[in-house]
Amino acid sequence: MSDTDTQPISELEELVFDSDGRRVAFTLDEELYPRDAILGAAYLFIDRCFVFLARPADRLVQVRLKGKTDDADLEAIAGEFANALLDQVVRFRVSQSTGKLREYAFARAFFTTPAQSSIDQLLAELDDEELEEDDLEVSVPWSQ
Amino acid sequence: MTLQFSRSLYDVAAVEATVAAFAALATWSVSEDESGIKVEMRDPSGDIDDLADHFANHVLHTSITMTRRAALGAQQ
Repeated sequence: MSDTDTQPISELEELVFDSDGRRVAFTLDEELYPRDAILGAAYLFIDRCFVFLARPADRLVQVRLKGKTDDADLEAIAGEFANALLDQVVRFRVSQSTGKLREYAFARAFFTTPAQSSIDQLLAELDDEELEEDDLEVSVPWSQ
Repeated sequence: MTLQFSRSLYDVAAVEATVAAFAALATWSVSEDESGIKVEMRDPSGDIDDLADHFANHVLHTSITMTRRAALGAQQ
């Protein structure tokens, strides 16, 4: 192998399988995967497999998955969990970054009481325009 | 058999609620120390396979549900 060859690093290298093959475990760093995102992904898999979370050290969360049946494909489930986890992380980050804006929009929508709704306001403006005198009758030649 | 739940990941109230829900299936005792919440399971019902795993799943589900409800309540 030459120096330029790179060794492909399998994502599954970090998966640790139990001796009976019914359990798989992997450890996540909370700096990369926030706790809420991990819990969100775990929630999605509760009906498919047994999920157990442990904290081996500060900022680390160990996820243990156990198949509900003997023939459960744990490697596939772990891969799907990883994808769901990324999805949850993105949701979490977007939720954090747009939180203030969302709060502002909701507050404006629910807690301000305009004298007229925007539709009423537009209708009133149209009525006003129609009532205005048009000496040259430029605006209504087709209505005659 | 003893199950150990991290307090930073699981809610004590969820553990207690699950113990109440699973009371008929085994004898459960809950204790807390610095390392977390310990649940000891004795005399499990032979009718259900993987009872401890079902218990842990239920605790996780209840913990997440409670946390989300609390977060929603705090926002309102």
